[in-house]
Amino acid sequence: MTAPLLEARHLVKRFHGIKVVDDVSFIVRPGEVVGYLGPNGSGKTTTGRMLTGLMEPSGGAVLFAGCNIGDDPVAYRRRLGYVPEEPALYSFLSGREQLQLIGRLREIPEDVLEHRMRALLELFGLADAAEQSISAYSKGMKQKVLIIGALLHDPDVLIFDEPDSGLDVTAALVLRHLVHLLASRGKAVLYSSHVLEVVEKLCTRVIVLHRGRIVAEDTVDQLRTLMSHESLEQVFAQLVLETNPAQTARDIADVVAGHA
Amino acid sequence: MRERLLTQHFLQRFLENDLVSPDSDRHDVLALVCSGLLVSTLFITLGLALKFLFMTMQSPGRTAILAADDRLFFMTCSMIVMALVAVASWDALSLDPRDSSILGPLPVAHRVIVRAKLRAVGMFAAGFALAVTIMPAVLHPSLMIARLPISLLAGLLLIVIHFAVSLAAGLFGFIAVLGVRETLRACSGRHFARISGFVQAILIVALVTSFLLVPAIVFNSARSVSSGRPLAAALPPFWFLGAQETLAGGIVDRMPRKELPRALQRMEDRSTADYRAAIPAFHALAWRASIAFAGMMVLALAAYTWNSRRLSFPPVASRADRYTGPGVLARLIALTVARAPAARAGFFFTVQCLIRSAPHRLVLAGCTAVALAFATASFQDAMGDRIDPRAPRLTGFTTQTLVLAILLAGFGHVLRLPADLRANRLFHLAWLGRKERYVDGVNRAAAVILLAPALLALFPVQALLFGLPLAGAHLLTGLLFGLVVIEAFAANRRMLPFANGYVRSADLNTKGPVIIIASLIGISLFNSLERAALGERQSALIFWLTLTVLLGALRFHRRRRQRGEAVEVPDVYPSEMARLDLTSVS
Repeated sequence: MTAPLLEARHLVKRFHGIKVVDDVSFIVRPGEVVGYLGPNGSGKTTTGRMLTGLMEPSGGAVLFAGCNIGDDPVAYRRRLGYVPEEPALYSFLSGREQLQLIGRLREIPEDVLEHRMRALLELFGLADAAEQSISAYSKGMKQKVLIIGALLHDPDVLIFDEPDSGLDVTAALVLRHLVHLLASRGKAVLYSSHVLEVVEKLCTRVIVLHRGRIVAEDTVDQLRTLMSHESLEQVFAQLVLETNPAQTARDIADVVAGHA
Repeated sequence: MRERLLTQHFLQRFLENDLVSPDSDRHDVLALVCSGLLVSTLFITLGLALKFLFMTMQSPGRTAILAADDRLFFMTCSMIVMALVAVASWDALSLDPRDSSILGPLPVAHRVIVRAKLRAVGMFAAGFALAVTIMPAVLHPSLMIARLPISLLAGLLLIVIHFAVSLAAGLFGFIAVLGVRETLRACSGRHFARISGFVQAILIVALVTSFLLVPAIVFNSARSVSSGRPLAAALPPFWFLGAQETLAGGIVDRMPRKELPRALQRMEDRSTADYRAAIPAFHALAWRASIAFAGMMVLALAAYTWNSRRLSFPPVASRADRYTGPGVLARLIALTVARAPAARAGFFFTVQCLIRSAPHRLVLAGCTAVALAFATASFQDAMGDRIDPRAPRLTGFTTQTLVLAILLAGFGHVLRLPADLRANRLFHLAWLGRKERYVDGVNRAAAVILLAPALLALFPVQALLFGLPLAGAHLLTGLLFGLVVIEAFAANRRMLPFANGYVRSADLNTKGPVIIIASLIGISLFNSLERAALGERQSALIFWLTLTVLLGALRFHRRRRQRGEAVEVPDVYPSEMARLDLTSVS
């Protein structure tokens, strides 16, 4: 078995004394796509931010190839690609200018950057909007810019935080194949998403987070067998759901119709 | 009911202005702006009107002449301030794609939305115009006639006319900007988003420059009008002065004259003659004011209605938005001034921020306006008294240095403004520790888009004043001075330009005056030194060499300190959590 490329070791994050992430440990090996699941507010995004170095953990450590990422953050950044959950981009730049800024900060040679940027813009269907201001982009277009930005420097570790949000069906399918292909070429991928069907098909292993703690970690097949369910959705529901979704839906419909 | 609610919503949006209040409470902004306007107009009015109380034997003729100058000042200020208010609220003046996406799906008729927006614009303009006008309208006529034997009714009439005409002048300024914006929007179609920012910046420069040059034009206005100077006929404030004098000028002018001592009587006779000579011209200007006001109103409303015939949505990408490869200029810059990737990132991001990011662009436009006003006044003064090239006057020499200092101080401030707090985490993710190279790029951008154009713009006038050789030498000094200042600013800067959080400017309130005085003394000393050095070729060479060595030393020191320095991008997440007040959760 190959050595882990990315490791979260007893990660803890507190905000004003409240633990948002509580003793989270896992590893991601080259060639693996690890699914990171959990309901809203379970600590997925906070974990992602700690893994990328955007946020200091309150406890524990993030290791890259066995070394703490704080020891040489620049070396880590060179090999990390991150697609954040929210599309925070410079609205006054065009898509092309945003990518050029990323590429230049990452010191990608200009000719390589130019070639990759143009090819990726074309392949992601953004070529016709490359010179348009990002303020006029749809959510999906912004998401594509973030994905291209994370891939420009051919990273070894990729962290996707809900990358499919806002993407159309075609782009979501392309992304799914792309993640699979990147993993088959030796990249270590951490994939956080709410679309369980995608995670089920794509991920080699799944980590389920609830209230900041890991409640399950295994392969999808193993989880299904262990919990005697047919789908990942049912496994997930059993692990983290505290209310009956059908009942909640009925209550909502009643409130909307004025019956409650 | 719906229309009232929407009007209220649109009015609130005027106070959520990135330029004026990026992160503050709208009630604070409203209170601050209103109190600022009332207090400043109170002091300005008192400063202008007190002369009537201390005038030796106040007489109608001299009062009419002096009052006309004051009124021209009020008209000009009211008009420019209101135009600036419109420019500052530029993006909120019409319905935008955000309004469309929020209000479009609601069951509200389109005409109701448009009417509510137009009503909000009108209420906003009227409210501001009222705050600008009320103090001068009440105080100035009251103090002006305090010592004159005039009836209460006539006094009230003076106040009402002053108020109405100043209000009209202010609204004219606002409507003119609205008219320009909407006409441009109607003509440019989908390209409006691209040119809108530039037009806004140009208007800021023009208006602030005009505002600073107001004292130069409001002198002996009645004589300017009667002599038929083209300036009087061309400038809108004179038109509204004409309106006010036509409506109210006669109240003071027609007052009975008292017997005066001979010297004062001569002055009174001359003033009366000057004023009465201007009356026909005032009538003509009054007509011009009425036609211009009505015409501008019709134009603005027509363009506004045309643009609002349907809700606006972001433009759809077309072939024109396709990237076809780097342009010649970009290639040239990449090959010359910004060769390293990090320097290229710094250079292009600086240019993009300064040109496209509204807060950055507008701060810089304000500084450009101050520099332009200063240069205009200074060169006008110097032109009247042509400088001897062998012994140039210090004032003429100081202009270039002061203009550069104003522009670069503005640039220094702009670097402290974050480009976008959330998007700035890109720097955290992609930063490879090449701060010295990134800052190289930022500094070079300042040299290319600020320093060089300013020097080239000043050069022709300086060549006319000092002669070509001396102007050339002065330009070289200016270039070296500018580069040294840019390096000196960068040498002491810990934060990463455009990528930091908001920096508190409390220090500026206390240290600001000291910094300004020290800078003025420093600039004066530098120019004395330059003037002495440029007298001889050898001393000039030594002077330039000294500046070059200083530049090299600063650059070496800065680059050595910044090499491998960690980037200090603020973490926006803890503040988000703090706002949720999680501490109160049990």
